[in-house]
Parts: sequence; C-alpha cells; structure tokens
Amino acid sequence: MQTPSAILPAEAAAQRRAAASAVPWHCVIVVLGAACIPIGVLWDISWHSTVGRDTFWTAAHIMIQLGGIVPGLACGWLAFKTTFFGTAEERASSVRIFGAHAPLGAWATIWGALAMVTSAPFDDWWHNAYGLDVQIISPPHSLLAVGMFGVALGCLLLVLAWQNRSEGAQRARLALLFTLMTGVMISMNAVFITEESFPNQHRGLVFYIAATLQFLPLVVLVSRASSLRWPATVAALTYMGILCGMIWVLPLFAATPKLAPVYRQVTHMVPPAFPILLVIPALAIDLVMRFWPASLRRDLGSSLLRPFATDWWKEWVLAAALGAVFLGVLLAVQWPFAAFLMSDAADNWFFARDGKWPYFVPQGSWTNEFWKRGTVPVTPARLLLAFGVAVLAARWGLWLGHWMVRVRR
Amino acid sequence: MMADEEAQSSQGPGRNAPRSEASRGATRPEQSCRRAAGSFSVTRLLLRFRVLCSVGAFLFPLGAAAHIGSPNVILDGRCGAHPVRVVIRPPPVIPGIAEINIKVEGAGVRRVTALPVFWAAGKKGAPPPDVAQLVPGETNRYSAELWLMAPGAYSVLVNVEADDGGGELIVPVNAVATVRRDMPPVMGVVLSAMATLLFVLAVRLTGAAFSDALTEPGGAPAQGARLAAWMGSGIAFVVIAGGVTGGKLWWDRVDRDYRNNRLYQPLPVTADIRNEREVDVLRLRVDNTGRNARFWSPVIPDHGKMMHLFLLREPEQDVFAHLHPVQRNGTTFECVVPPVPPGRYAVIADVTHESGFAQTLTANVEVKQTGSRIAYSLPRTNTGAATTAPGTASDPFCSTPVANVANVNWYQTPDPDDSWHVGNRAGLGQPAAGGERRCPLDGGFTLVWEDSAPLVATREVSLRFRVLAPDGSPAKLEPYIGMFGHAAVRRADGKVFAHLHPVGTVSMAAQQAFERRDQRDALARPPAGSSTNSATLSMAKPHAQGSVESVTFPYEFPQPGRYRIWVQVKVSGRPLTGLFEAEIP
Repeated sequence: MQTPSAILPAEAAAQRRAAASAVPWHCVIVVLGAACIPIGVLWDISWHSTVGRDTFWTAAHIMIQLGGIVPGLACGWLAFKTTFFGTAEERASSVRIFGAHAPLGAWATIWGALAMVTSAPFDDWWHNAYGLDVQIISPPHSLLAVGMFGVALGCLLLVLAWQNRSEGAQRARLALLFTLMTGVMISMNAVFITEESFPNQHRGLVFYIAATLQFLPLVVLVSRASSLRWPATVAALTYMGILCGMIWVLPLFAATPKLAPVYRQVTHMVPPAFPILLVIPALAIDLVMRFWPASLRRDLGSSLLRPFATDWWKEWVLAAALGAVFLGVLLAVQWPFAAFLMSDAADNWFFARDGKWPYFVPQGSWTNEFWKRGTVPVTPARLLLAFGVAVLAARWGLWLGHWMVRVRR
Repeated sequence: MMADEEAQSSQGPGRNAPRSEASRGATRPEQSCRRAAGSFSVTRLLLRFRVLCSVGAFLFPLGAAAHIGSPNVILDGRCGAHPVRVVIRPPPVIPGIAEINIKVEGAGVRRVTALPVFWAAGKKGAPPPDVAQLVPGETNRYSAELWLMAPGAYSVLVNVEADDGGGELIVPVNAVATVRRDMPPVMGVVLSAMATLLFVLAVRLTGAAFSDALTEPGGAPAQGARLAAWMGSGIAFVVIAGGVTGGKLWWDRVDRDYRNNRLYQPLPVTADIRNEREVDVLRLRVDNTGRNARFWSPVIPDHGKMMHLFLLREPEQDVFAHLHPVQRNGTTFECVVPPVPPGRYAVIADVTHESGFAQTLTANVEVKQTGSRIAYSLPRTNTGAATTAPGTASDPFCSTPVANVANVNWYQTPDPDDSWHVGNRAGLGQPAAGGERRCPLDGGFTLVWEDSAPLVATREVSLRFRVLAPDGSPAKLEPYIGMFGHAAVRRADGKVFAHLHPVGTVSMAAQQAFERRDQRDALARPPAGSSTNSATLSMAKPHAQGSVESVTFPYEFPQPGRYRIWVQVKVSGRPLTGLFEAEIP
C-alpha cells in the first residue's frame, strides 16, 4: 500500500504531464470565436436571402461581431497579462510592440478586432450618407472584411506558434486546432467567391480560377505547416462540415421575405449552395506533399530571403506539381458533380438544389442549367492560363507555409 | 372633416389616358431597378452588415421630387367607411426607411397595415404588409416603418381592417435621394485616429512577423532579422498605403457617383417667352439628355392638364399665375402668358409621369411688356371692363381668359382654367378677432382662414378656408380644375414650394396611375385566396361635384420661416385668389 507521500509525487507528475499536453485555453477560445465569423456571415447571407430586411442587432450580425470581439478580448487579456503579470517564459515567447508583450497572433487578432469595431460607425455613417447597403462591396464593408481576415489570421498564428513550440501530445492537439482554424479560413474565403461558385458555373473557367486562388494557397500552407498527417484533408473537411451544417440546419427555421420584389415564396431560411468537394483535391495535395521525393524538397530551415539559393527551383517544381494536381482533380470532380447538383436527384434537403435560391431570384429552368451568358468556356488554351494561376497560388502557399513553420512567438 | 375632404377628391381625365407600349419602354430609374431585380444579381447574396440609420443632424433637403424642399407626403382619404389621414416622411437617402403615420377615424378598427409597392414590381412582387402599431397614448394613430429599397415611384397601400370590412388606400410616394451628408467632424477625427493606429500597428506587426516572431523564445534574433523586419515593414507600408489611397479614390468615386447619378436634382429647364401670332408664348424645355434621362419618362395628365405651372414674380411675390401649358413634344411645353406685369418670374411646374413619379421643375423667365392681345380682349373682373392696364396694376384682380377665340389667328389659345392674380392684398390676411385671418377677394368676396392648430414646422396641420359673400353670408365653393380648392405654399427664400389639394400633397394622377397598375395586375393574375384586391381599393373620386362651404388643405410645413400661401377657390363661376402670410416657428 502506497503512502500518501508516495502518491503525491506521482499525481503531481501526472498533472504536469496533463498540463504539458493540454491545449492553452485561449487557443481554444479564439478558434471557437473566429469560427463565429464564417458561420455568422453565412447566416447573414441566408437572412438577406430569406427576409431581406434587417437591423444591426440581428442574431447573424451579433454572431459576426462576436467573431471579432471574443478573440479580440481574449488576446487583449493575453497581452495585458503577458505585459504586466507574465512570467519570463511567457515574455520570451512574445513579440514586443510599443512596449507591450503578446504573441504575434494575439497582436494580429487585436488588430483585426479593432478594424472590425472601427468599421461599425464608419458603416453607420455610410448608410446614412449613401443609403442602406447600396453597395455590398463598399469601403466600410471592406474594412470589416479586412478586420475579419486579421482576426482569423491572428488566431491561426496564435495556435501555430504554440504548435511550433510544443511537442508530443500537445503538439498533435494544437496541430489539429491549427488545421481546424485553416478550415475556418477556407470557409471565409469560400464566401468571397460565392458569386462564382454556383454549380451552374462549374463548366466555366472563372470558377476554377477563383477556387484555385482562394483555396489552393490555404490548402498548401496547412499541408506544409501543420503537424497532422492529413492536414489539407482535415481542413477541407472542416470547410465542408461548416457549409453542410448550415445547409441542413438553416431550413429548419421558418421565415418569410419582407422586402420587394418577391419572386419566390420562401417559407424557411434559405441555405447556402452545396460546397465544392474540396476534400478530394485537398487529399491529393496531402498525398503529393507526403510522397514528394526527398531530393526535390527544399530545406525548410533555410532563410525566407534567399533569392540566390541554389535549390530555389525545387519549390517551383513542387508548386507546379501541386497546381497541376489541384486543378486537375478539381476539374475532374466538379465537372460531373455540378451536373448532379442540378439534377432532380439533388432536389432535397441534403443538397438543397432548389432551396438555395433567395426570394428575389426569378423562377425558371435557368436555375438548373449551366449558365452560358457571361461564362468563359473551358478550353485547353485557357486551362494553361488556369494552370499558371495555380502554380503561382501554390508557390504563394508554399512560401507562407515555409514562413509559418518558422513562427515561434 | 376628413370625410368632407374625401368627398372632394377627384380624378382627372388622365385616368383614361392612353399608355403606349413605346412609352412604357422609355428610360427611367424604375426600369433600371426592375432589370436589376429581375436578373439574378448574386452580389446581393454577399455579406451585408447593415446598421440602421440613426439620422443625426437634420439636413435640409437639396430638393424633393414632387414640390420643392417639402418631401413629406400627406393624404386625406378613406379606407372603406373610415376616414384616414396618412403622413409619410420619406428617407433622405435611398435605400432607406420611411416613417408612416396613419390616423384612422371611426370605431371597430382591428388592424392597420402598410405596404410599399415599387412601381416596376407591382403587388405581385411585394412582401407581406407591415402591421402598423398603435402609437402609445393614442387611440387612433398608428405608425410603421417602410423600407424603400430602390429609387423611383412607390405606392404605399394602407389597409384598414375593421368590423365593417375596412378598405385600402393608395398613397403615392417618390423615393429619391435628396441630401448629401458630410461626415461629422468628431467622427472624422475618431476614425482618422483609428486609421492611423491601425496603419502604424500593421506596419510594425509585419516587421515583427519577419524578425521577432521567428526567433526562438529567449533566443537571439537570427542574422539578418533586423533587415528582414525593415523590409517587411517597408513592404507593408507600401502595400497598406496603396490600399488606403485606393480606398480613398474608391470613396471619392462612390461620392461622385452619388452626387452625379443617384442624388435627385431638379432637371435643367429653360424658359423663354416669344411673341408669336399675336400672343406671348411661354416655352419650357426640359433637358432630358444624358443622366437626366433617368428622371424623365412620358407625362400623364393630372386633373386633365399635362402640366400645372405657376408664375411668381420675384422678389416681391406679388404676382401669381396658375397656368396649364400644352405639351408640344416629349420635353417642350407651351402656354400663353397672361397679362401680368413685367418683371423677373420664378417658373414652377408640376408634372406627373406615367410611372407615378411626380416632380417639380423650376426655371426663371423675364416677362417684358406684354404683347399679347388677350390682355386687352378679355374681361379681367366680373365687375366691369378692364380696370387697369397690364404692367401698372396695383389693384389686385383675378381673371380667366373666356373670350371667344374662334375667329382669331392666335398661335395658341389660353387654357380656360388659367388664372392669375396681381398685387398684394391689403394686410395679407392678418389675423382678425377670434384668430381668423381674412383676405379680401375680387368682387367683394372675403377669404377666411379659420383658426387652426398652432402652426409649427414638421407638424401636420389642416389649413381650413371659407369664403364670405359681399353680404357676409357663406359663399358656395365650386369645383375648380377638379377640386374645391388649390393652394400654393412658398417660403420667402423660395426653397420651399408645395402645390396642395384638399386631399393633401400627393399627385392625384400618380394615385390613379398606381390604381390602374394594380387593376392590370389583378386582371393578369387574379389573387388566389387574397382577402384584398383592387376591387376593395378606395377608388379616387371623379371630379369634385356640387359645392361646399369650406375647403381644407392638410400640410406639414417642412422648415421654420416666413411663408406665403395662395389659396384659389371658385365662386360664382370664376376663380379667385387670396393670399396669406404665416410665420412658422
């Protein structure tokens, strides 16, 4: 029988191990807070597609603001604590800005939250001056979007720095959190290409270029910077999970339009369009990254600023491979899948073929046809152009991933 | 009272005015909006973060489409058996939120709703109506908010559900942006400070991202970290400065677009007078070229006239003429100049477009010594022959051209409903005992402005008038241009002008245009299971008939100031004009 004095050191050791493998609470908080942004934005889009009329205090708007306020406050507290009450270790893991200490990610999150807060009175004045949402893409809305991006990037960097400094179980958990956060960012980016992402446009070049520009850099950087085995796949699944969750949950709530003109008698909240099957090209990216020949890998410990390094070309070769694989798989998957999404088989709650159209969209067969007007057809020559874009996007993702691997604070 | 006024509502011949397909195809703002709505604009799906307007400092409208500087709409009408007064205060920018107040007379009212219907979309494209809420402390006043999302003509359908069935009333409203706001200085300072902070912080953070952030905790910065930090900061500085500059240019472009294309400005109008075939002809030409084309579409008659034009001599405001030009072509209108004294005149003309959009055109014209022979051929009073020569008249008179013009070679004959008035009435209707104000009229009649509620800016009021015969007995008021009275209100500085009718400030032609639109829609698409349709609409009454002893004009003075009010009534077969002045606090 063990004596109490023998048990205590063992428990203390276990507690130390648990603490060492635990994910810092503020990392969890900021990721959950940041996840409110794309969910709130999708909710808000649904609100405008269903009801039309809103105020500052709709639940969707509150959720978006929480997406900035919660991470912002958490990081503000972190900066305050590190600056005034932080241990030497905590200060050593921080970046000093104007005399205050906080991790780089915390600073970026605070910056984003400040930008979001600043956009609110600016937007208020804008509406008074030029009308309610006359322009969706307006200077105050852009400031808000930049703020949201800052918050998301900050959260990503905050978790990333912890991941890069940690080991063992803690590193694995933080890697998962980092990857999930990348999925949140992919969801945010997906919102910005809503205009080009309807299945009706999946036979046009613009969709493939837009998707490549928005998704490929994130998919590549997470594949390089995350410690998970299949990071791009998990991030893509996160994005698809968020979108599918909104598709399946939103229509459960009744709502009717309150603005004219009403071309569809909408009775429930309108869901977003079914997400693209990003998980498949993301899996391909993971496979390329895992099985890329060692002889063609660049030393990730090397400096970011080595334009005359002898192995500079290796990254470009990898980028070309990643670009070709991503574009090819995306094309192979979405080309037929778009036809399915517009077929009768997809006219259900799961795929929301007809349910996704807002009240102000006129009815007609055109909603289930590939749009020709304004669409640039895909041709071999144009695919070359898309491939060039994909290479650049992949190279940008690799560079970001290279930088992220080195972030320590 | 409102029941009496409803009985005075009229509907001019414009009700049956032909409406060609070609005219429907004319360019106008409503159509562009319809096209935008009809085609799927996915940009509307993008994120919107809307903050409700909280109007700060009151800004004087640059101009309002119908009337000048007097954008609020007041209509006295009837929903079934219930007299109602509707007051709508349109937002200064579009899209925006209008305020509607509805006063309903009579018992048994169960529910009051309001529904703004955009001209191009019609009722079939309208959402469910908003239920107006009873104003706290009131028993028959209801209020609601109206979302006006596109520039152009709206009809607001006010529906009263009551034990006796209730009814519906159409209220025409123009939705146009009328103000351009500058940012309050305090807000400018705060936003500038925040922008500076964000700018500096972003530059510093980018530098740190390439130096401190890459350093192991507790370790020394890597070689070249300082250079990397400077390079990062430099790149960030250039990129963000470029972004800020681009944002400013973007903002300027939006503002320029707002001022040039979205902000309503009265259409440029030129006015001139020429003598042609024995008469002086006033010609108005509307410039509908370029961006102005968006605010011009075919005109429909209002009370049987394509245009109601007022001539006011400036700065004295002692000459007033109510004329009715004919339309020579799409944008040119002409009328015979009455025998008014020479001087500089303000020309104010009301027109209603087939879309229900009503607007007021303004110009100036110099009237020289009149050469119109009509000045000498027509009786100017009912008391005898012409009493004074034109241009020298100090004795006020009213006249209408009633001469037999069958055998003359005039370029154009005057409109039989034209009327004019010269001179300042003695006392300008100063208050008499009991608070009444009196203004002597031609022929020994007296116009009495009965005591009303205190006149205060932005508060609705009923301006009630009656006429006394020379013997002091009440005189019967006869219909004049379809109504029992017309009034024109103008602030001394000319920045406010409104043409009032007993039913309110709305254009009756616009009301009828909306009514016809709803009837067409109802025929094209019978409302299935709908409790309301065009058959239950409160139809505008035909021309006023019979006679009454008083006339009331509902109005809301938009701004403090000194106003002059011309009131036109018809007594014993001839129109008479009285004028009053009022100081509005």
